[in-house]
Parts: sequence; structure tokens; C-alpha cells
Amino acid sequence: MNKFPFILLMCIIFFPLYAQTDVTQGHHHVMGQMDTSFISQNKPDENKANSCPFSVMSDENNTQVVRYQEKTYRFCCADCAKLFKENPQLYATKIKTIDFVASQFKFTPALITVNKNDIVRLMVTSTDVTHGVYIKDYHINVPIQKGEKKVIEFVADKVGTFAIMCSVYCGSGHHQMKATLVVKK
Amino acid sequence: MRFFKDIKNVTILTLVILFFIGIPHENSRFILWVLSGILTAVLVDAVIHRLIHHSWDFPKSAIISGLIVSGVLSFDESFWLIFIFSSLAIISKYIIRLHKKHFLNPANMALFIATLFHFPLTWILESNRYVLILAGLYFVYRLKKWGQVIGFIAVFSVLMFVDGANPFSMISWFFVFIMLIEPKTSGFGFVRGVIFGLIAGVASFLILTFLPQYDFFVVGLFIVNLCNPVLDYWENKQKISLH
Repeated sequence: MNKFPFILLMCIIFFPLYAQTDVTQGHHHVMGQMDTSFISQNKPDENKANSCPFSVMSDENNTQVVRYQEKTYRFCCADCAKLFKENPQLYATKIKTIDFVASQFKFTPALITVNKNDIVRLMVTSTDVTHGVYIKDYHINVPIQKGEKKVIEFVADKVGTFAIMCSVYCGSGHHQMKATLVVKK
Repeated sequence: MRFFKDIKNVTILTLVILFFIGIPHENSRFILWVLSGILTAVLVDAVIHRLIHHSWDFPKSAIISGLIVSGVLSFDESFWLIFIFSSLAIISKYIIRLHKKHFLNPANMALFIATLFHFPLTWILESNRYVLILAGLYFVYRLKKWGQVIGFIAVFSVLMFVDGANPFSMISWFFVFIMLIEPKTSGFGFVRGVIFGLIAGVASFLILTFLPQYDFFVVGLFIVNLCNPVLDYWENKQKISLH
């Protein structure tokens, strides 16, 4: 009976570690449909094989390369590259690259406006301490350490106004550190 | 003045003041969120107390747990989460026990599970650092928890400084003065307190450095809470050897 609390405690600790799914690392071959289920996050410094699609100049390990209008688009597989080649204009214009800087206690820019089904690529950096980028409705929660650069990609498939919050405690103004993502029709 | 003799009353008053200071900066959902957290914690505690002791008792500690859980967890999340985590805080207090007493900070236990599942902790109740520091120093004086606070601030500051960050811009006074010094789970005595604070500080720094996706204060406190049985054993051994 005395072991019960410890068994319960171990279950509480290890179950979420086992069961959690990091949706931000998913990769779905649905570019051709501009489907709502496509969410991907590129982390240039880790797990490069998962970082397709549309990782411009960021992932050297993505072997499939397509040059279009003086830009290099890298893909994880031939299928993604093929889909892009079928209609490069459609995808290239839909990629919205935004430099997103986190510092105590603000995000710059504080307002991001994109259109529905744009592929949003946030090039995130932190200038002072560790911060986190959290967008609840897009299932994005990515920590960014000082000096680190991460690329967060997702398809803006939900119309509306969404709060971008810092998810890592960064000081007494942590709760005020917010930005806004507006996705227009 | 009788009201101020009970440290729980003063803690509730402080948390309520912080809650009211935070209201103008947030929306009405924040008010509902915190009230839901308090009500859930009080109801769950009252029912469990009734089942165990066959009597009704007004659970002040549940109000504190409810305020902490709802004031730290992001109120943008679904409402069912505040019901779950407030309940978990209270339930953990009655279930996870050793030698007939709980050794994990109940509110921190719930927040630990929240951060494991990647629910963001926004620490909204940390709305005014001056109120926190003033009230916190009073709590530390009344509860004799100088060791915990000194140990934590010393080691966390040094490690953060070495890491190139301004330590005092990163310390959460809400964590230090409300959560770290929780009377029943933070140990008694200066030396024990310093060791408790040192472990919490080192653990928090390591989590921030290597696992930043988890809230480093909450995980740090959880780790040092887990060390409580070992610290108790060590303390008892010291006492026996002195006798």
C-alpha cells in the first residue's frame, strides 16, 4: 500500500512524456491541396529530415532542391518537390516570411497579418533570454533560447485573430508578452 | 487583528490583491477563470475532507491552491482545464503522501502536470512585484523560511550570471515568496531550508538550460519536493547522531 503513491506519481510523470504528440513537428504531403491539416515546423538546428516542405535556404540536408525565381526551395522528398514544380507560382507567393524577434517583454512585430492559406514562416530569434512562441489554435509551442534561430512554419488555415504568447517564463513582465496574428479571408 | 494572526488569511489577502491588480490588464475571462479555480478547489477539498473526517471544514489552503493554479495557468485555455488542474492540486494532497503527510506542494503538483502536457504558464498573478516582495518578506519572517529563499536566490543568481543573463530580471518573486516557501512541503530549519533552496535553484537552472519547453520554476520545485523524503531521512539521521 505504501508503494501506491510512488506508482501513481511515476504514472503521472511518465505518461505525458510517453503520450505527448508534438504536432508542430508533423509533416504532411498535402501541399497540392493547400489542405487545412498541413502544419509543419522547421528547426534548422535539429531533426533536419522533418523540416520540409518549403524550407528556403534553411536545411542543407533536404536533398530535393528546386530553383525558382532566383530562390532555392528545398524539400524532404521527391513528392513534395514534384507538387511544387506543378505550380510553383501558387506556392511561392503563398509563403510569407516574417522575422519575428522575442525580447523582454515584447514580440516584434506585435501584429502579423496574413491571408487564409498563406504558408507562414516565422524566423524567430531571441535577443536576451529564453522565450517561447505559443499559438494555441495552431498547436504551436516552441522555445527559443538566446542567440538561437528557429523557423516555425504553418499554413494559416483558420480565419480570425489569434494571440501569440510567450510560453517560457522570461521575467516579471512575462504575462504581458503578447503579439497578435490576424488571418484574413 | 485576529484575521492577520493566521498566515493563511494574509496569503489569501495578498493573492486577492494581486488578482485585483491584474484585472484591468486582462479581460473578463480572467475573473471567471480565477473564480472557477477557487470554487473547484474549495469544493473538492470540502468533499474529500467530509469523506475522510466526516465533518465540514472551511478549506483556506484550498483557496490558496485554487488561486495559485488559476493565477499561473494561462486563462486562454479551455475552462475544463482549470476544473481538472484545481481538482488535481487538491486530490494530490490527499493521495500522494508519505508518513501520513503530503510532501509535494499541491498547487505546484497540478502546474507540473500542466507544464508536462505543454499547457503554457503565464504567471498572471505576478501582477505587482512590490506587493509580492513586501508581503513575501513578511511570510518569510513569519514562517521562518529564510534558508529556502537565500539558498534559491543565491544559487540561481550565480548560475544565471555565469550564463550571461541578468538573474534579477529572471527571478519570479511570486514563485519565491508564494510557492517555494509553502509551509508544509519546504522543510523546517535554516540548514534544511538552504539545502532545499539550493536544490530548487540548481534544478530550475538546469531545466531552463536543457528542457526550456517545461516551466523551470515549477519543475525545479517538483524535483526538490521529490527530495523531501531523502532530506527527512538525512535530517533524522543527523538528530540521532547528535543525541
